Amino acid sequence: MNNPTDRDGKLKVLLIEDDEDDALITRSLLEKLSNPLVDLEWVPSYAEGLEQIKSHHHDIGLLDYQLGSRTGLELLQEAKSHGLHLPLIMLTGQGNESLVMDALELGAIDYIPKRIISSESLQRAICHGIEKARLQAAIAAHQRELEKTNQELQRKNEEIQRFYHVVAHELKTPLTAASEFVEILLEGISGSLTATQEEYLRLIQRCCGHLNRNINDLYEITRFETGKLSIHPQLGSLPELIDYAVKVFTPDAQAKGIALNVCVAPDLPLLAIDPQRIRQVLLNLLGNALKFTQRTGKILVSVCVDSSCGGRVRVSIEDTGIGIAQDQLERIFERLYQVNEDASASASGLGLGLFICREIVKLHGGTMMATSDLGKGSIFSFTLPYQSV
Amino acid sequence: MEKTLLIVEDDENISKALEVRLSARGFNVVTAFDAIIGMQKAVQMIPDAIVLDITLPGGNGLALAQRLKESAKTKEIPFIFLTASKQDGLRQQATSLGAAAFFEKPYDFEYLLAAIRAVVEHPHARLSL
Repeated sequence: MNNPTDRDGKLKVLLIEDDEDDALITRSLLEKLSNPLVDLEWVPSYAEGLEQIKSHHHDIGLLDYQLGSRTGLELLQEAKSHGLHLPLIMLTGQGNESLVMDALELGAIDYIPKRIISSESLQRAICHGIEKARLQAAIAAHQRELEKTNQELQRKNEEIQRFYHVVAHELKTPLTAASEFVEILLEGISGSLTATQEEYLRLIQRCCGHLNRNINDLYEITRFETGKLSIHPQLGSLPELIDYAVKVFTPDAQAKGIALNVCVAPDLPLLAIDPQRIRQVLLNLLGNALKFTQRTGKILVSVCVDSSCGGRVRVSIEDTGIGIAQDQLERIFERLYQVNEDASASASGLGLGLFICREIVKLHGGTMMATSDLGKGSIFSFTLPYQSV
Repeated sequence: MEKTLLIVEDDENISKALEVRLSARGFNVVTAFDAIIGMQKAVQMIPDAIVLDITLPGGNGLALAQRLKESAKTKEIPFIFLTASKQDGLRQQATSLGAAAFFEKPYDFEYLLAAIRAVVEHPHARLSL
């Protein structure tokens, strides 16, 4: 950027003024200034004024309102449309002070009513104007820097998304084939199996299921982090989703001798929910409860209208499992946090499930919480608002 | 009468698995590993339904579906998408192309089979996408 003052230490001031007498007065007032020392260039017309602004030879300009048949406002407008950045102080005559707001909106840096013009008012306006222009330029430079950084971040986000698309695709394709051939063997299409062979194949089948869930969790997490995950709420029935989740886990619960019960309050309102996402939350919480509850334990899924917090439905999943220590309880919703289990409990998962659940509930405008008694059990619950559709 | 299915899937393992399982359930299965051969076989054989991968060499599955709809010979053949891609908006695109069903890999074979049976019997059936 030009810095015209460097040439001889004087401030280069452009005066655009069609009245010669006014120009002479302004010149004499400026000549009295000792700080800053001013080198004034006067042009009497709109066209010459614009030409000089374009020349970038000045530090600041003084602009009269009336310029022959045209106005200072038009000149401000034209300078702005050309992207010219000379700070301009508007000189307003008797009766046109009301145009000040228009002038400031068009980019004038300050104004001086001609009736009170003095060396002091000129000095103050010029010094402030120069400083204001410097700050505006600095802000504009910062803004450009921020925009550049923002664009860079968006580009990187998109790159990450693309990478995870590829990863998900490349992992899921062979996983699908592996699962399919296990199924083919289990169906007996390629011959009969011994009991041990079938047992081992079921093991592989379960591992494929775990792997698929982990890939899905990893994929979801990138969608949260790149702000791409959204929900598509529709009016839905929570009991139906709970019924589905309970049915999914009933065989496993029965195999472990765990009593899996449901208690849904009557007359629940319909909720604006994304059924797929809420089902995901329920499956995750119920899966955890089952994983951390020993044989002959109990799990209760309950739904009620939360009286402590109007307009909300609360879903709770209560188990009689191993429980979580207080210091760990505070961190279980953190991304990648794994409860530090003892060797007897089976650890699995990436530590993303609860984080994803909480984010899904948050997207619904609800909250998720957990309480626990170590050795006695845990309660995971979440609320969902029902007033908004 | 034996129904004919065309599987357009570039992963040979998945294609083979589908061929084995669907054949075992009484279907006559024809396979194609890219969109071009897929279109050729669809025109030649006029299968009862097409199971279509989305990421395919020689033009993706969505483009192939579009061509199937545009050809007088193939426009009535119901098609089902099968994809490992989680790209945004694929389901919506599939719906707007008139897909009968949409499955993500790894799919549940029994659901896929039920969808295939439904569209083979009722070519205009649209299952929940």
